[in-house]
Amino acid sequence: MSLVALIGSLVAVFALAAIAWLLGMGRTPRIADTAQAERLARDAHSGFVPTDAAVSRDGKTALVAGRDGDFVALREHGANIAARVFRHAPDMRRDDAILTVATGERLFGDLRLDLGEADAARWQGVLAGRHGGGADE
Amino acid sequence: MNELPDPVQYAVPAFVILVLLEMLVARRVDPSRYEPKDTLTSLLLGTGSTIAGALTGSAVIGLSVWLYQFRLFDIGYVWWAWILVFLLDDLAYYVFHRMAHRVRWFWASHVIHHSSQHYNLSTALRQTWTGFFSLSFAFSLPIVLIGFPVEMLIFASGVNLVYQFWIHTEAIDRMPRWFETVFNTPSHHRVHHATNPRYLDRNYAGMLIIWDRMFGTFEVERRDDQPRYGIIKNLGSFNLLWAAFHEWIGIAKDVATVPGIRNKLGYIFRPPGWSHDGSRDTSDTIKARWRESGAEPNDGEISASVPAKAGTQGG
Repeated sequence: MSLVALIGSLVAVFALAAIAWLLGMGRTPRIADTAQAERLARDAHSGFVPTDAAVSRDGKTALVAGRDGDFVALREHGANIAARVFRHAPDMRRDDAILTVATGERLFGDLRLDLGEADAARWQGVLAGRHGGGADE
Repeated sequence: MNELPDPVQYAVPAFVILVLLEMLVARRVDPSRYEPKDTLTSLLLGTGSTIAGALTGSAVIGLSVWLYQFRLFDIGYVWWAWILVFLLDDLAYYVFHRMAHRVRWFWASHVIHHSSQHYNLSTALRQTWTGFFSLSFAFSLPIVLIGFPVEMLIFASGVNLVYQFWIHTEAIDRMPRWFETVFNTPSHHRVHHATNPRYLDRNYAGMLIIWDRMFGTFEVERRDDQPRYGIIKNLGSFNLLWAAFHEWIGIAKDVATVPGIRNKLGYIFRPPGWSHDGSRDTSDTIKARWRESGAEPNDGEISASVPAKAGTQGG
């Protein structure tokens, strides 16, 4: 591979990415409601039976509790939703209306759920009540 | 060695033009099919793969030429050898590809190609940086030992690679029935890139889908089970280095922390997702849970339209 070919390739790469941006490709997804969050959780975790879901008021994140004590965390990633499965309740902290769920992954980041004070408090209780070590996959 | 052209080199300008065209089509049909950061990541991974290939290609060719002296037959450049080499190279690709999904060592290299949650022509170019390190070239070496000229094999592999570009698209629904029967197509390959339990570890074909039909790994794309692309544990990051090396890092961590040589080897050579304590999911456990949940629809209808995206796209 010559240097000219490499430079040409890089120019084409950045040009195509710029065109995708200029064309307005890749709309940011929003999780509309708990029903959608539960469906996304089922898609992400085979056999998952959702029992309860919390969707952040900005629609960017959601946390879904499962029948077997497992949880699925959802967050926007580009034009898609990325998920993390927890076999047990994940670590979290609450600051008033904001619940922050720790994923343990620096690049994935923690999940910030703006639930409103009442829901945040309720979910804090749900997670605390089902906490069992936080092993995830 | 005879000098044959490199098909990939000639195809690159067409790749760029076709990505652009697909992008314009997607803008009208479904703008979420492309995402600028994802596109940039895919294309930079492709560029990195080309650099890695340039750095290691001569070693692979050198090894192949050295092995050629031990060939069983003197086949040469006869007409029927061209047909055979394309078939054998495609079969070798099938075997490699199947291993790449069933053995974590090879998966660590191949996962790059699957790590986008999009399925478009830029995904086709999202290629590994560590193919040489994982020894994935070894699957083609028996063809050299049979006696097919090295240059002929390299050319066939190049054509195979170029062929696989166009099947990475949602812009084409289905090809004519006879074509779908014999060749790998966008529909067949969408299944391969999907994480739906039904579709996991299916359709390993390169050019010819006949291998999947022969070896029991074929799955048809269904209208009632639209593909969801990516990997079981999607990256959630556009970090280039993480995309390129995350599974290798995962192997290193697992091997370093788990007790016992048997477990350590398991984390290297058993299927992706295998764990010594059963705390993770393999494609087999995912499929089993899916079957137990009774989620499998009865009607196996073939997709009749371009699959719609999951309803997660909004303003």
